[in-house]
Amino acid sequence: MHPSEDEQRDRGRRRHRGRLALVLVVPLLVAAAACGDDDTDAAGADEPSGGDVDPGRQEVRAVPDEYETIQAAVDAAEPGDLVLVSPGVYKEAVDVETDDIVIRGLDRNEVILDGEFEKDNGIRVFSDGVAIENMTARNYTTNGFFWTGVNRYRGSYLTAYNNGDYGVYAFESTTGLFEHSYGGGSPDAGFYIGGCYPCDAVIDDVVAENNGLGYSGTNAGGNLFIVNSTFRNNRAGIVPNSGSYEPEYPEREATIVGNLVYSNNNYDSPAIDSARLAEGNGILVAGGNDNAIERNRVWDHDLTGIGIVIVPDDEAEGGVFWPSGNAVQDNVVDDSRLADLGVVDQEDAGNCFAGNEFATTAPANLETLMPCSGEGTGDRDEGALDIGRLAVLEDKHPAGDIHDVPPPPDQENMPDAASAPWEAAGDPPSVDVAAIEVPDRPS
Amino acid sequence: MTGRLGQRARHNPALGLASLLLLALGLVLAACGDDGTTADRGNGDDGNGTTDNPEEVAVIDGSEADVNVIDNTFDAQNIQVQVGTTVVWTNNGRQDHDIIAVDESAGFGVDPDDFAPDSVYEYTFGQPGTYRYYCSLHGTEDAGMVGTVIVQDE
Repeated sequence: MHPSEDEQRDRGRRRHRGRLALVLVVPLLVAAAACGDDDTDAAGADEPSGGDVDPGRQEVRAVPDEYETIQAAVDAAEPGDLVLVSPGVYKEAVDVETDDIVIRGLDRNEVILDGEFEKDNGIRVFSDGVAIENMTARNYTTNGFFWTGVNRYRGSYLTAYNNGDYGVYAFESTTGLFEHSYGGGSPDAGFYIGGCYPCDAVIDDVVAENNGLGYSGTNAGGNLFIVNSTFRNNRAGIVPNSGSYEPEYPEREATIVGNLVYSNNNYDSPAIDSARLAEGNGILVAGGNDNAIERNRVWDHDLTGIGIVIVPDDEAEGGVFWPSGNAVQDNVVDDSRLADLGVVDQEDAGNCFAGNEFATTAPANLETLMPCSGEGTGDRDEGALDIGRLAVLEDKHPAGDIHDVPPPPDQENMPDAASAPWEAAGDPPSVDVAAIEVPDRPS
Repeated sequence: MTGRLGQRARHNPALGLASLLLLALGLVLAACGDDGTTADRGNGDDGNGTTDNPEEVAVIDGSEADVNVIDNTFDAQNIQVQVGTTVVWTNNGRQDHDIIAVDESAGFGVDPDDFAPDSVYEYTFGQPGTYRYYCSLHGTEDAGMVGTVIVQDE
């Protein structure tokens, strides 16, 4: 049994500090993740990696059976605990300030945090090592799931839609993983990692659609991987970018490999102005440096499939973040109305293009002009990218209404959520970039 | 008790104009100008506009002290000023922020509706004390986007 929507209403910030941990009755889970079970080597059963956890006292805290709200369970939790949430609509804005806990929904599509367009963040995390799994956050005025200023974070099997800024968001946080998740209907980005260097983070197997930007990574880089994911029907798909409005600028050293990026011309999506400026581009490096963009399949864009452009910014040297050192290799790009591959940069900036399948470039003959090995030859002015097509806000489509974005269909559940062992967030998995191939086009 | 000598929130037309010009010139993911009055950021200034050690305190002389508000940090995070100093917070971020005094009786603070990007909020501190504050959208009283104004007697 779980509380009705009315019962949940406005319980969001009530705290229940000091409540004694109760003896837990969650048979399936306890059977699989018993405290101090020495016979299992399952990750997390004994000690979440990286945390300071007493392996003898991990507990499951069930919502709403033991705690009426997620916030109450989170406040009662101690490092190593699991907050296990049953299906229901939870009209809460949850703050987490305890290290090394896991917050898990029993059903990704039926455990729903709802901000009703009044509350700011679904779950906001200020502590290290917190993992959130298998639930949905919708209709928050700012973010669905938000980690800020933490070391070690993880979001797995999350759905975030129609939230006012970002769907799944890590700011000034390092050592993280977003995986098997969905972000939709955000006017900024469905997935966002910002203000970190090195980020030491991975985005793997996510879907972003109907956002202003599928992925945005302002000033985020350094051991940062965006791989094996789908970015479709946003205003723009993947947009690493520099900006002095966040720390750690400029953006550099993101690795973007093996993604499906298509049809990012969704002018009905909600959008902040920067997303409007970026609209119609698949992968757009805006004032970023030393990014590796490899073996992505990119198609159907009104402007560029893969573009590298400048960003004016008062705090940048000379008033502009000039892109440099970006390597675009072995991608398959087609059906771009302005150019499959395009760049606006300074001469000898070190941006390079090689091994791509494409039809058009701007400037012309990019792989000859800016090869990734050897000297380039050609005329930088011939067929130069018309930056004006990207730059004038007044020419862009107006933002859509967040309320008009349809909810996503049910998303894949975490396997065995009721019984799987739990593990606080630790180091993200290493990514074998070389093993990632160009993904097939979906049928 | 803290005296309220003056406070106001305003949109900075110069910053708005700068943004429009930059929008017209190129792809701008957000750009707001530094008007050149940014206070000493202290020894923790890492050269890109943020202090790298939140424990440090930037000592600011003069009748006005600027705090650069970006996503999602107050820079300088901790400042020390003299009684009578007007602290000026400028939202140079791309997001809405607010300023909430931890001590509700402190008398300063601004709502997000009045502190959108490019907006300025200022408050003159008339009494000595340590005033902690935070952005409720991106922090709590003691975590995330937090700041402190230490006001000293002359």
